[in-house]
Amino acid sequence: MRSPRLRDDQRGLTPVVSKALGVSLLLLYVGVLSTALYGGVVPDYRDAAGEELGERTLAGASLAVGDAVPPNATDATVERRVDIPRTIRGSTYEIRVENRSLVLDHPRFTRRRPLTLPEHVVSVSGSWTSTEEPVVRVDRVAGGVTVRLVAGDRS
Amino acid sequence: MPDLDDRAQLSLPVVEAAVGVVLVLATLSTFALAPPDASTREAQLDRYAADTASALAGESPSHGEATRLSEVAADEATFDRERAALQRRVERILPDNLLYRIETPHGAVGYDPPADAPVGVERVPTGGGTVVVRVWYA
Amino acid sequence: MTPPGADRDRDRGQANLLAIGLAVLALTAALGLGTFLAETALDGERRAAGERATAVAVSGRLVAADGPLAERRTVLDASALDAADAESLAERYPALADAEFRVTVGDRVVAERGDPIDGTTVRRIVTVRETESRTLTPELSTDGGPGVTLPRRTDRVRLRIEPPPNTTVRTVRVDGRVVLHDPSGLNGTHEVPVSRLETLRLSVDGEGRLPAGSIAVTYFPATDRKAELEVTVDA
Repeated sequence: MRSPRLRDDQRGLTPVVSKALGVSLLLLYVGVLSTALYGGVVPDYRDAAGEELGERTLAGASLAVGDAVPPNATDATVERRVDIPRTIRGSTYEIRVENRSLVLDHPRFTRRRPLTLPEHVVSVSGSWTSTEEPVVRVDRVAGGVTVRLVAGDRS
Repeated sequence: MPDLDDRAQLSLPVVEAAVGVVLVLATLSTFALAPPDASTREAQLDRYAADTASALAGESPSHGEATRLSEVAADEATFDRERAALQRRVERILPDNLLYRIETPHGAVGYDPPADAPVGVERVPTGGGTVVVRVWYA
Repeated sequence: MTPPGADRDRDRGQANLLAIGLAVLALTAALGLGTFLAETALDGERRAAGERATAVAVSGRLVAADGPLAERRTVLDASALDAADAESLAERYPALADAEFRVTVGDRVVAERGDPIDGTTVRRIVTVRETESRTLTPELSTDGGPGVTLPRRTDRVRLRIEPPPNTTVRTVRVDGRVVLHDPSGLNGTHEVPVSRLETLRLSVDGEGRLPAGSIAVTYFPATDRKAELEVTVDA
């Protein structure tokens, strides 16, 4: 014997309404989620990804500068091209030397990293813009070598 | 006759939800299971190759070898004669987890490098020709 | 009489909403997990790149010919390794300033600051060279005769020449090659680089007699041992 139940016109919801309610609830959920994500989480992650790329770029650049210095005995002038991305997080940036450290100057963040150089490096100077071709130039001077960050010619 | 009302029915939204969760988890797994950086391994192998080349080129003969790397590269007769000694020298230098191949203009010693794994390379110009040192993880 | 499916519709309606609620919950949980994973992955990547570059740079400086511990390229001096410490390394390489790091050669820890558990490691192949000094005081003839053969190979020879009166030492030869020459007579201490690749025979030219003790020959035999240099940096 079936348990007593409501009559047709006393049913809570029709199938159509229930589906419609379900769909609109889901749309609401997606809307709220999208707003929350694009308002907060996504920009934070884009920033974090940008900073991470900045850190990697700076690490790679400082290694390249250190590698470019030849041993003290050799006479040659060295010019070595370095690879850096043209933009990070959509903006161009600068890499310059401050106090034997490399500084990556980006509109959204700044990172600094000390250079690891042999002792016969007398001075380090110069800067790069990410839109130009970055070149490390090592010249021999009395008592050692100088290291300069210069812009190379696009060839 | 079976009662229609008693038939079990899988609710479609549950299936949809399950599919959604599986999709999200599959995307997430690409974060968690990212492959190790092959370029890092190759850079380390390149360093190993460069160090091996330095050691071969400037080795102290207190162990008995007097033949310089340049001589081995220059002359086919010298290479043939010193082949086994060269092999011993390299195997003494390299850690156990590495395999090697040393190529000279007159021949090579060592193993065959893998085609699908990172291999470190160092080229040594000597008076007698270029010697190529390759190392890779065993 | 209600149609047989009506009851089912009502039940399904409720179950729909419940299922939607559960789906939302499950998706939110998955999203939270994803956020956490992404955060961890990014953070780890950022530190690892910096750590690796520092470890590569420092290990490169240590194996270079002009490195603080090196005798020549990829050859490290055993006594320099004994004397090395973390403070002097961190001072010399400011990239290590804020990091915990460890430098080991073979099984021995050469320098350590803190405990670089999560650090990045870079390895190099090196030779550890232990050099000692030995001195001979032979009796030598001044006619360029047989001289003395050094029992071990060395890369330099230090000669203390104190000829007795009436004796002049004009030339010192190593394997026939002139390394010291003074027509008016050699005196005092001189250090001469020689080839490590050969056994050396020392002979002297001059006048007079050189009894044992007038010339002290100091040579520096070395023992080499292959090892791996490991630099681990945890920033």
